[in-house]
Amino acid sequence: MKGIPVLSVLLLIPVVASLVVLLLPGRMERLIKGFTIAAVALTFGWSLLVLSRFTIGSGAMQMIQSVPWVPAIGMSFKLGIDGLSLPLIMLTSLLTLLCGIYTWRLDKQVKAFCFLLLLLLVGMLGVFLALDAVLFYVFWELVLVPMFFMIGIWGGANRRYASVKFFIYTLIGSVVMLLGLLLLFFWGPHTFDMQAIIAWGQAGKFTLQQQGWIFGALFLGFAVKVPIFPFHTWLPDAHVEAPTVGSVLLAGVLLKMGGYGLLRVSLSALPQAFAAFSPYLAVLGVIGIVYGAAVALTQKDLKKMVAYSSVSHMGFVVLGIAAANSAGVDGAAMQMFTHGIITGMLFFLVGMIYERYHTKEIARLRGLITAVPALGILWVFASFASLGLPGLAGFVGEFTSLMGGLQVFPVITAFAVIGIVLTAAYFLRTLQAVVFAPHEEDSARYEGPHTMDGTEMAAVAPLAAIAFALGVYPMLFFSIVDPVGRALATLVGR
Amino acid sequence: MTPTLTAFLVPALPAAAALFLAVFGRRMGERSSHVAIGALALSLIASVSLLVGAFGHEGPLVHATVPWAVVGGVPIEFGLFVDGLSASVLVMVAAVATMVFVYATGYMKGDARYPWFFTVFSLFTACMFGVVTSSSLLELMLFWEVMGLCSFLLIGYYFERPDARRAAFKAFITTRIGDMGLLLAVALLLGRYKTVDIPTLLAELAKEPKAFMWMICALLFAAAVSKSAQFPMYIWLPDAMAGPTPVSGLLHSATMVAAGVFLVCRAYPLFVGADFLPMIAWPGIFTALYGAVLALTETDIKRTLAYSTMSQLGYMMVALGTGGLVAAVFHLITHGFFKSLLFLSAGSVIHGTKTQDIREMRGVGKTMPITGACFLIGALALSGIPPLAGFFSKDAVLASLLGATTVQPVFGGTLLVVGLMTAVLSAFYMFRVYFGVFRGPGRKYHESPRAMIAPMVALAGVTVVAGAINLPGLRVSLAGMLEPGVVEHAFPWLMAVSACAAGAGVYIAWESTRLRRALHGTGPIPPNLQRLYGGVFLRPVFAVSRFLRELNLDYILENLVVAPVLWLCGLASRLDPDVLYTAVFVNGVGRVAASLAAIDVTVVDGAVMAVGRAGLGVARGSGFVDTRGIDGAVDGVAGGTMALGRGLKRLQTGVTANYALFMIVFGVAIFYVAWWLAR
Repeated sequence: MKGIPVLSVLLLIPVVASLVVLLLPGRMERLIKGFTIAAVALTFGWSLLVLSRFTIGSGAMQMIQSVPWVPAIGMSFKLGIDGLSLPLIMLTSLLTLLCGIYTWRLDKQVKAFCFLLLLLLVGMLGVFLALDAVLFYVFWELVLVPMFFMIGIWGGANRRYASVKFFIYTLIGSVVMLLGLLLLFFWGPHTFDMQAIIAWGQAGKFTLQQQGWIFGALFLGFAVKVPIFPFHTWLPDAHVEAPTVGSVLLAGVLLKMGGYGLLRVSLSALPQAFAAFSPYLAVLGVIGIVYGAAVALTQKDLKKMVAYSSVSHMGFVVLGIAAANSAGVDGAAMQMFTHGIITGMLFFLVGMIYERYHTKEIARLRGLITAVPALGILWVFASFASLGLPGLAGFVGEFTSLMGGLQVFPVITAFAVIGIVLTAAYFLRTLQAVVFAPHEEDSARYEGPHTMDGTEMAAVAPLAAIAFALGVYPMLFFSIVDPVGRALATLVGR
Repeated sequence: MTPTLTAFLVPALPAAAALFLAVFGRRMGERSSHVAIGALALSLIASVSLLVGAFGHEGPLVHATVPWAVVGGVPIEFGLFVDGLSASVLVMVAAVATMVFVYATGYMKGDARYPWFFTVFSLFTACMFGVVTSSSLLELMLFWEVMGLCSFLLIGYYFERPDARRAAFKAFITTRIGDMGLLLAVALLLGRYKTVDIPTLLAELAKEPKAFMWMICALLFAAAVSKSAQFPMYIWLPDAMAGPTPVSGLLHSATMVAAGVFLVCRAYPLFVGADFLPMIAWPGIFTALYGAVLALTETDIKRTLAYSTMSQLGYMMVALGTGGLVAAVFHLITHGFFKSLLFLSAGSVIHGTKTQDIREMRGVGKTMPITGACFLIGALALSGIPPLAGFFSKDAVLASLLGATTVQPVFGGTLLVVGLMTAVLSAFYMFRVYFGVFRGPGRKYHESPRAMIAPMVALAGVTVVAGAINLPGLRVSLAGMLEPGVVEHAFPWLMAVSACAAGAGVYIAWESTRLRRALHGTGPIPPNLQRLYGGVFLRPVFAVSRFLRELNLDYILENLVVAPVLWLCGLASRLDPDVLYTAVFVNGVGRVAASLAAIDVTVVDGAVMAVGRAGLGVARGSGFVDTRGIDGAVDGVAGGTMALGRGLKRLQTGVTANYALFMIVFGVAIFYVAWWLAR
């Protein structure tokens, strides 16, 4: 296996697969779907190989490969991973695999959907792999396109509005982010090599003023993606209208790009600006936690509630990042991963509920536990995982971020517990109504089988298993992330 | 087997049983209880062996840790910690749980969700063992919260009933509010000392300034207050009686609610060092009195016992608040036995009479003699009649209050007087139930099945003798294990006073029952003197109790706390920035776009249409192009110019190209801006 550029192959598999899908005739839907599942499964398998070759316990970049691209401006095709990006790569390939399996149920424009799914996979993996600013930006933008079409073509009734809103928001954000990336080039080492830029920043060669400008520009791009309050308003609309697979990947992976960017670029290359801005970031994070939960409590649409819960949960990521100590960074990384797992699961389950009842209105959904017991139990499980019950994965990230936050911003962070209580309230309220309460006069009816089928089980069972395993024993995750957390913590001196 | 392995097995066995039942429970049906009870019986044996080992053992018997996570290069450890405190509580929990499990096989027989019940019940027991044996505060919190989950699921076991769902919600949220204190405390301590090991933390905290210690105490105490149903966080406990009776008999009387008291015991040196004790004593004594007063006029037998539970937990807290660690643990253990006995007996009565309203139960003791005898033993123990277990432990609590008078006469004196008043009231409400339900003439009922009776009898036996675990002067006793070397003072006159108080309570209950029977015309009319006596002494007490119950703190809290929170949440969703954006940004842009659209429609469309018409003419002339093609072209061009407004109307043509165009144009512009800035 020596000499094989492992990371390039990881990226190449979906690229080739997407081209093959384009060449397959559109009517052979089962073949296309089968091929797509095989391709994403291969990608996931390859990411397991990457995991097995990763040196756990090292905070350094690993498996770096670099091919000059435009040497004149220091642009290269440079990939690498460390303990921060590896979990996100695993998350991406796993969720895409499950989405691929779930796509088996799709019957509308299958070819286009499979192509976009693979393209999306390329973009998402690329963002987490790229070590060149231009490459990073290209993948960042690449992600936007398939998601835009997924919402726009396969979305719900109001999909046009939602997809255009998503498009405008993220485009404006990423265009300003590009400004920041270019400033890193001009004010920095005149290369797009991110490691060189980070080294430049950590050597303190950016003036504080320069750092401030760049930080602001990058922040807008990342903040829209996370999303950080008050840039979150595209998210509920996009989620409500997006198809199930779109929602899963949007919440599961796309939001993490923002958190990853903040850690990888803003914190790593601009530590002084970051330190100066971090109290505000913490405040925004806590506002997000409380506000997202408060708004989720009043939602009438099940999917919109889960969407706002994302705003709340990503607030913990922001809080952890703002703390910028090892607990904060570890917690943010953990929260990003577990939020992907748990919210991915919730969105899958919402999709399954919608397919059966043809409504997402909480007031009309009743008696899930008698109609489809397995679905009801999984919903209860996912709710408790999401509300941060200790022993399940959601708690670990929340707790660690909170711990990091308390060390640096004790007063601000303490307010986050309001959000935790509200989170319990909206999840319990919903699960009691949807799962346990018996049928009422005007409840939606479902007369189909009382079981979940194979693709449905295959999509959520692995997520449930991970949510349980990580909650009971998160050691492996921490041993991967913690070295990076420690390294980043020294930058801001926390 | 090493003590460490034994200690590991105590929570691990029921946890394994729960996992097993979660997977195979449905297939096993009613046999699933065998698995649960088998695992639990082994845990009981293991607990007893730990207790035997802990006797006379210097320091903790077991203290072993394993890393669970690593943050900042420092491992966060989980582990086991068994000392005299945990071992003695473990044995009580294991014994009570075993009895309640056996009882539940009878009580829940024929229930559709029987395996599910035993799954959650086993998980709960595992968590309770976990709380008691945790060496790490984080691990303790983990089990603590999962216990809350089990409580939620078991209170809402009859989830078809709205009141059960509501009660489950209320229980989880109320305790979760308090748990936030624990969460903050653990996160704060872990961040500060890089460890969650309880003994280490206690040692570290002892060096801190008092204010910091006090804050940590307050945070921990918040969790204890809500879990142990102390004022004002008790509101969930009476409603929690909506769960099946075995649940009330295990979770909401003997074990889970005692976890709050246990937490304070576990961190006791911290509470002492921070001078936090009065903050425990005042709410404790108030809850003790308040619960007893509320229990007086409650008509639901299980809710009466629930109020009694919070009152007795208040006793434990007030003992802790006056330095009586041994007294608190002693009362925790005896209360666990006799309160679960009372609940199981009450469940048996409910099983026989098919009602929970004590006004509808009459003379049950005649046809259900064993149940009646068991309830009587429980009631005597709770009232503190010698020589039952409750007498000794309550006396220990009162002795601790008396001890406080030597240091702070007013503080201790107030507590002692209220404590004695509560003792009278406890006997009163307990025997009011006993006389009302079991004595006198009544209908014929059927005694409960043997599966229910047997554990009740066993618990009754334990209740009779459990007072012996802390007999003064014994070499092997609770006090010797918890506070070795400390000589316990015995106050014979206090014992006499406390026994008299209990006797007085029973007597008043008897008179009150006679009085009520007379008023209802079911008994002989007492002499006028007695009526006067009842009127003068009882009426005010009942009036206060009724007034407090009608005041309904629940309702007030709901309107003062919950309603405003919901209102704020509603406000937040109305104030969503989205609305502002829509008003300012989208509408603004929309207006611009609309005027552009007007230009577009008139000018561009006009031009296009003109071209189109011309083309159409040509096409018609040549008979070559159909109308759809022209329309398509028109839409294509218009869509191109109005990508923002029309969005996805023609996905395959307009927007993709536009998007690329956007990226290029913006990219170039941004590049120039950057270059200009960087110049």
